[in-house]
Amino acid sequence: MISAINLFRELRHLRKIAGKRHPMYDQNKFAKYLMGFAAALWLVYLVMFGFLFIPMFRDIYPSMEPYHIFNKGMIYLMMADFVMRFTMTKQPVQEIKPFVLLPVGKSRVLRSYLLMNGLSGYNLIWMFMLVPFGFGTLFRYFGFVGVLGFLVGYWLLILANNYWFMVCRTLMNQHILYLLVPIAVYALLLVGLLVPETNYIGNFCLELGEGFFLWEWQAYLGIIAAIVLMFYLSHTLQKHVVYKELSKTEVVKKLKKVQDYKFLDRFGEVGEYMRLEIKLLTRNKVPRTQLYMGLGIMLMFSAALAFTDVYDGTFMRYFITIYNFAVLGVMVLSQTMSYEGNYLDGLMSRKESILNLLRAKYYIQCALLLIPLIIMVLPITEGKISLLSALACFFLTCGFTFWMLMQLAVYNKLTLNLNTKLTGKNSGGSFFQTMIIMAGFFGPVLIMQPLITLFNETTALLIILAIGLGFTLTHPLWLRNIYKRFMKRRYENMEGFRASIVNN
Amino acid sequence: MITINNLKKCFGEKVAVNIDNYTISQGTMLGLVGNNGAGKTTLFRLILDLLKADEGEVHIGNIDVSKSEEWKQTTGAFIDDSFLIDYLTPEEYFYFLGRVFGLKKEDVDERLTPFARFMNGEVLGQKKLIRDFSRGNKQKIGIIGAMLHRPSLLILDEPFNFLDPSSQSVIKHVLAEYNRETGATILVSSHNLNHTTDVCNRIVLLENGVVIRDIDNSERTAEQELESYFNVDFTEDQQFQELTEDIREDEE
Repeated sequence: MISAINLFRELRHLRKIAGKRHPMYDQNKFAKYLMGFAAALWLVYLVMFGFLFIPMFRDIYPSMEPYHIFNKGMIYLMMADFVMRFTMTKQPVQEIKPFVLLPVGKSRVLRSYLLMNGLSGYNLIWMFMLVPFGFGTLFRYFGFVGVLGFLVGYWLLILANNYWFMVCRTLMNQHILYLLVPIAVYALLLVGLLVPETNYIGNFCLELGEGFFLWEWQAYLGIIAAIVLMFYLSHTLQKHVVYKELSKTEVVKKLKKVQDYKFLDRFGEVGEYMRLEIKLLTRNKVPRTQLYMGLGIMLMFSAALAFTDVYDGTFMRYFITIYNFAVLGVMVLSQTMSYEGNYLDGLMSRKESILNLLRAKYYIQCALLLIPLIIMVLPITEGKISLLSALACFFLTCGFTFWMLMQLAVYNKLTLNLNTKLTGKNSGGSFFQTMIIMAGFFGPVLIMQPLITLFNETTALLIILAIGLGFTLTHPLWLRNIYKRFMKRRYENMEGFRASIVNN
Repeated sequence: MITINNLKKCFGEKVAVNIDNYTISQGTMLGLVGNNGAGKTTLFRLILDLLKADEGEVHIGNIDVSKSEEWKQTTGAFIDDSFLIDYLTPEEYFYFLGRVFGLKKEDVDERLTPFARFMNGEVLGQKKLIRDFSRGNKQKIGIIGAMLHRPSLLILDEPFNFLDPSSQSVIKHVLAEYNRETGATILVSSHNLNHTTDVCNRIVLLENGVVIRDIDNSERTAEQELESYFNVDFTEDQQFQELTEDIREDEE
């Protein structure tokens, strides 16, 4: 039988190559660099916090040492750590499937995975904040040994939090109501911390932190006991649910009413594809989330424009108006063909189906633009924006912005899973896609601003309106052009869609 | 009629398809057989212009499939799930295809009738999205979708896969009947030699992308030839001989 250490090595190797060999890994390098940059920025922030907390705590609580304040508030750190784990920490029970029939024992595999999670570098991220803070506050009183005790103690604390998170996550996978468990626990801890009469929690945390840098055995014993307990709980729970996970079958929901959208019949074949587009947007988790999110943002900004003075500057007012119109289009049209990648072979074996699909997408998005236009009545009647500027932005979006976004139909070649959440594997795009999205949001304002500077506002808006109308009226021409270019690149794109459809 | 001229497709070093000249005349029911990786699906994708050929071309009638889309009006195909729009119900999918090919709802309903036995009451009226159906029923939806507009060329990749024995039998009859009634050309790939030889009057054996046998099966005699090709000969394998002798002795 394979030894525990070798099993651990094998599993760690498998987890490592699983990420690297994912079909999206090579295709989405730009997104990876972007995420890497964001992560680096976050680490810089942590270092900055580590340094900034020292004078900040000194100013607010001059009678106490900053490390006392920090220790007292360790619950906040644990809460932040807990929330961040939702996107980062993997559940071993999801990875155990290939090993159930191997003679290695489920418990051993689970233990290896749990150990791997504990030893993950992710649990050291907070060190970017703790190291500068520790050296800035503890070093002069307790020397290197004291700082080391502080860091080791906090690492153990984060480790306990890691296994506590896994307990909660396993429960939440069984039923979402289990989310109330961590909420209740952290709420109770906060009450204990914030209510002065019952500030036992704050005092306990202060003592615990002090125990760390003074290397008191009781503090370490306590935290190690907590780790062992959480590890055991997590292991027991995961073992218990492993059969459930393995035989998990999704309950097939029957449709209560099958919508037919009969009014689209009058638009002939394009109407048929419009019907398809509506069903794509409403019956699949990812596009549906985008749709609701886009509509929500539209409502929010329209209300802000109408009822508040937040966006009263010319630049911001136009930016928000444009953003309001473009947000949904940017979200949906920037993924043009990527959703269709799931059934592209079917579409490609029908004559001109892609052309009709592009037309349908364009018309649906133009129709959806009526929603922000109607909502804009509020700021128009409030006198916050003029009717001319609303119309100019409307046509600029359905002409120029959509023209720009729909160019991506030629270049997108990654299939997006219609029902996998937007986090993780499904997010991120090519460099070109990101550039087009940025241009979709900022391009119109960058055109508008110099025009306003060169002429007066009304003339600038009339020019914008003319540009927008020009693009809108010529849409049959540019849509056919996009279609022709798509057909020229079809083999390359189909290959890309096919390659990324597997397990995405 | 399908004409293949000097068709070549490689994936890296591996030659997936390499066919000099091959013609399939109208009305032929052709079975494509071969081991895994023989190039069956790649050949179908090349015929359907879903892959770019490195060399050569495919003509359906007089049309070069890579130059025009006209052939799509008279061609039906089902290769895999990427032909299915899985967030539609089967009815919606069939009506969608019907409208794309200019059929009215009533025409679609009428054309679905002959498939009633094949669907076995498990496909229509279920109020379920295609993605929620079993593999077998998805296969049925794909096959019916490919035949709905009565194409003169029908291409089905592994149509017997995932189907229960009754449905396999039904689809064989449906295909034979369709070929007889409409004179359509039907290309079917399969690992199941019995089914292929039962239904096809011409069998092509593909290996490493090359046509190595082209068998006339109008007298239903191809099965023997195919079986002798695919059966591994163990008579000269010493270990195998010893093993069978041991078993025989044990039995005695």
